[in-house]
Amino acid sequence: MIEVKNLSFKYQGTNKFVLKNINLSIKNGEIVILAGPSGCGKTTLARSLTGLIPQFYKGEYSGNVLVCGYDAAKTPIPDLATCIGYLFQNPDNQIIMDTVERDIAFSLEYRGFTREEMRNRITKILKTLGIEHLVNRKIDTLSGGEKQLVALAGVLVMEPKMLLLDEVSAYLSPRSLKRLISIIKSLNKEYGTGIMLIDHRLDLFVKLADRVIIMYDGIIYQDGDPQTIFKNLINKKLGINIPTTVKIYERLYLRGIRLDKIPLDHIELADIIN
Amino acid sequence: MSVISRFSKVFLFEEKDALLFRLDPRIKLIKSIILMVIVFFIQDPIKIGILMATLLVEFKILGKVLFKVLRSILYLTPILILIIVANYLATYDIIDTLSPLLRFLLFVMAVDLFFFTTSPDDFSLTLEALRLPMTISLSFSLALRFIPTLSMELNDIIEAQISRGLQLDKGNILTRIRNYIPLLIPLIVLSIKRSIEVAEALEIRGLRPGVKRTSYKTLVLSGVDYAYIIISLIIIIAIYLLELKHLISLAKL
Amino acid sequence: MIIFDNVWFKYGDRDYVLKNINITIKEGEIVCILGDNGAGKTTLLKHINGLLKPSKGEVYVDKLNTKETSVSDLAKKVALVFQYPERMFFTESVWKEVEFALANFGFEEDIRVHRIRKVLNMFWLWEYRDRSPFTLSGGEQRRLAIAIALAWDPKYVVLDEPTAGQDGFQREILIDIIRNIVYREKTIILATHDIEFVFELPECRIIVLNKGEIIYDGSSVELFNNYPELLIEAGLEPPSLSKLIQTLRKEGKYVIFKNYDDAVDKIYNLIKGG
Repeated sequence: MIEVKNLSFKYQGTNKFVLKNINLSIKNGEIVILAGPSGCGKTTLARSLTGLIPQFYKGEYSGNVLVCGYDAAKTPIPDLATCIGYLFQNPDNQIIMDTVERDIAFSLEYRGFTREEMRNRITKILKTLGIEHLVNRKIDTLSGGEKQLVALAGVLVMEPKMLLLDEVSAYLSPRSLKRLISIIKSLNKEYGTGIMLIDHRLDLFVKLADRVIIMYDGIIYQDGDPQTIFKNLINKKLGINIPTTVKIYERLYLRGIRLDKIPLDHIELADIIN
Repeated sequence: MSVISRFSKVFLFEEKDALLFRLDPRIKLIKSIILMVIVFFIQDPIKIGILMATLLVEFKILGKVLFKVLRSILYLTPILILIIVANYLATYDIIDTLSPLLRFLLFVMAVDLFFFTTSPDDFSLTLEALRLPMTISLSFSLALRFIPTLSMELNDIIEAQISRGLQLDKGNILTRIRNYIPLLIPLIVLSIKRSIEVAEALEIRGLRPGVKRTSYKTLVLSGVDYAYIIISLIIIIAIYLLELKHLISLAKL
Repeated sequence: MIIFDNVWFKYGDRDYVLKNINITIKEGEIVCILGDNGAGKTTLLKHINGLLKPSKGEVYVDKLNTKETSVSDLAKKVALVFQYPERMFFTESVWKEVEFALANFGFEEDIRVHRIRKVLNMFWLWEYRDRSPFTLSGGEQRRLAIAIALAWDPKYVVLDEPTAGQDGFQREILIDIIRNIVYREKTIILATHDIEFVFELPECRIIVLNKGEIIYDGSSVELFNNYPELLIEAGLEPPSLSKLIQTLRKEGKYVIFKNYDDAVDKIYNLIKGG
């Protein structure tokens, strides 16, 4: 699905490589969290997967990125978008038209669909996300959470095989975030959509993930299942928001308690206590 | 701050549940243009007055925007006074002063008729229907789309600067102009950042210049649209042809 | 002392966003206002420095009625730090950015220099003094915003979502700054929906806002131990340790966690004992 080989990148006009020899392979339908502190290169990696790097953002590029078999450096960005859907941190800038329905349609208008086909796809995606009631709304009357869902609809309407979410937790309220998480789960389950969450809030998403990738200073520092990752990260300060229960585990570890399993949430910790 | 919020109240589009808002924007544009043209052909202040009255009724009943229209006129008070004074000094005649004033007001109302009742969405559809190049219609849509965001950001900027002691209305004219620099620079920086991100979004969302586009939504005329423009034309022509002297003599009988 | 006396507020002719707010904040307190997006947190904060005036009721800052006092007079006492610091920077250097506020409040040259030095050092920004504020990272920009606010030595510091979008490093630094620098000298009022952050500030007096109304006003220990359902009602996710308390209590283990360290101790004892 995604194959990254020896990828290095430096933005034009800067003198530091943001990505240093990245190697990564992601299978169909995986749920992956890509975490790491601000400035570690997460967003740059996301841009390389969507073709924005090196086509939109120029710089020194070496290595190879294959998504759905296409070379991300050479395939037109709109074509790659049918393989990887990319949701920005700030949905406001991703919404182009003035009403919900027309904005979602925008993604389809240059792809040779008939109006009937567009209507079917739009209806379907509105239903999947449970936002049929927003169809005729003007964008500036929507709340932040609603805008996020509309932007998501604009991405999903292209039926991408994988969804890339960039720091979605940053400005969403807990309620909107909960809803987004349940949508992600059902997309993955029902349509087999692969999910890649780029976020430093590991605590919010870890229960969702099959696999956690930690980036640090332009390299892939860790890659594995949550248990392994947290074992390897014990008491290493990497600027990632880890779950409170994992922090508790670390503190207990320092005081000599060895648990077989790292509790990822309060229920697992309660089980350990009992 | 209050100036800007009052200003945006007039210029930000506000959807209302009223007939004028549901009409095909092309129809409103046609009527608007007819009115703007006819301003140059009718001189009689009474006829213009009658035409204005029909429009005011239309704004009130069909559009629910009468208040907004009146407020937009209120903002033009300085220009109105200028017209009155200039014309009066030139002619020393009340009728001759009244006529250009009313014609100017009618012109303003004609502009309002289209802009106050046409959503940004309809506006961009109108541009597409006029077969303007895609880059132009898309730029217009984007500009309209981001006006509310921009005005919200400007509000945030003003509040942040006031909160660290900026006093906008302090000092002489020069200082006052300089007071706006702390508002303008963040606004420009934010806009540049946004434009990069929106450009990214256009790529990701599949914009392909040169590829044929199938518009999802297009404008379709309905019976109501035809009825509206025909009735409007009848009223305008009737007022234009109206012989006031006949009316007055009829009234005398 | 800050007093909200029966405050109601609405924008124009829309519905009330603040309803019947009664709060008295004493000097030296730290008050954390919790609530979902749209609950009225920011609206409430803007009342303290007079950016917004109540539609009904009064707000007093040190006996000054905000309706009768100009924002610039109030701002001298009350520093309001917004969620998006990048929306106020406009000068070419960090130094000038701090100086701007001091000049606005009419401080003399020598005092300005002294204050700028002091706050930039305090917040580890001294080495950036000649850099453009736009080139700072998100966390540094936030720190600068707080530094600016402290420069004119206000009595009250009001922070809107101080940790939103911050990674683990920055979050820890911000918590440290708020607790160990700002709180030592100032009265703090902060709004957030970052519940784990509040859990790490147990000295907070907590006010929970739900749809413009206060549904809780009291200690953090009391709220997190005994009333997590109020947080859920307000659209927030209780902190994981609060959820752990509930789970343990359901299983017959009655625990109270006074703060994070206390929780570690008690969990340690439970595991050792059981």
